Amino acid sequence: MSAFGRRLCLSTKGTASMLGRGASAAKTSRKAAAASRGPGHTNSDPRYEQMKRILFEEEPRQLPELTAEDVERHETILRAEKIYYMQKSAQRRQERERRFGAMEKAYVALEKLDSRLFEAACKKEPNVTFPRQMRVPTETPPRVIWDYSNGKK
Amino acid sequence: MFARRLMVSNFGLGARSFSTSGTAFEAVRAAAKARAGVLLQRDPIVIERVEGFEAEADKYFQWLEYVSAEKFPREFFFKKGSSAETKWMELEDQRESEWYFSPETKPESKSLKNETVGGESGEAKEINKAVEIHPRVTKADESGDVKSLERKLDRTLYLLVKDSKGQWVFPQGALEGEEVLHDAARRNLKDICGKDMSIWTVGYGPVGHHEASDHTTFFIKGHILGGQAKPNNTLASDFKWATKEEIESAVSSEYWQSVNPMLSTV
Repeated sequence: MSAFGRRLCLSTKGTASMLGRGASAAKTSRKAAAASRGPGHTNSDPRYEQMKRILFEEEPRQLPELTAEDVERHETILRAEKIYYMQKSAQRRQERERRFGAMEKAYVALEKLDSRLFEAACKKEPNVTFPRQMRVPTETPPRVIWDYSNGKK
Repeated sequence: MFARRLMVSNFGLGARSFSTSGTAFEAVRAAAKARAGVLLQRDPIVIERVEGFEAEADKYFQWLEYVSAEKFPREFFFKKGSSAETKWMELEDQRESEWYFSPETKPESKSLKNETVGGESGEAKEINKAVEIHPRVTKADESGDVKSLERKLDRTLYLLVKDSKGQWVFPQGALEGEEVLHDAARRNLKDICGKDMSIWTVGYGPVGHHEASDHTTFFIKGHILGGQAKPNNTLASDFKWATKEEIESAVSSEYWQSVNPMLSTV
């Protein structure tokens, strides 16, 4: 159990004594100051009280209550969403397969045409990395959209 | 399917048994028939905007999560009377009007902002560090400048050049000497479109091909990362950066049939 958890479970007086045991010089001096102020006064952070109250004393959330109409509406939306994403992913798959098919046909044609070029095309590129200049698309474009100078001034 | 298995297995000795052009003469003749071209693309700079059903569905599910969430402990996160708290209360008031269930079940709306004692509007003026947001539709879009690389930011643009016959094609040229496809493609692109482009060619093999009467062009995929095409007037009279639909209207129908499967819809 973490130190934080331990402090949560203990009362405020206990917390003060916890801090006293093997704490830093600053903490012990604060403890001394609190002790001098009198009993019942705590030197614990008010945020700990806040956190304890939020975690343990607040009412658990109330999930919204749905009428039969609401349930039907919700299920319709879920189903529509499912169909929409199914169609979208089918379109993407179709495009992927189309592009791969074009590549396959090109390799077949190259093999028929020239074996030297075909062998060279079948070699695997060593140490493939994406170029540093390649940009990930964002929602809006950058201030300078395209570097026409190509890095030269 | 056969070709796929061919590509997966290790080539070395196996390929020779399949080759049809065995003799040196045939090899030279075959190489003369092959041409190397580049499918040069400018990748999208902005992402596709979520529209229509997807956008509405997203709004519904986000609202549902909001309505089902635990009560927000505002005294823990915000200091009393701070501007951050005021901003949050304004947002909460805006969200009060949202309700996707039956209207009878909608709880009474109470404004958080006006609830606070005093209800003062933020006096402490924060230095408004406005984030510059640039529009997705650029000047190039409005003017229809097809040579610009800042047009159609959400689409892929492909480089088309006008060859000596006045046909719009992807930059391509013959192989010289013992050149390999990807080297020939890069060299031809430099010869036709100049050296002021920063290009990343992907891999050693073709992504597509076009069979003409006397030659076959194999296209190597390339991404332009910077710079611009500056066509050599003897080899190419004009150039443009076109989307998939624009290519369809520009090139000949036989060329489109061969080239169409390579291109991206986005």
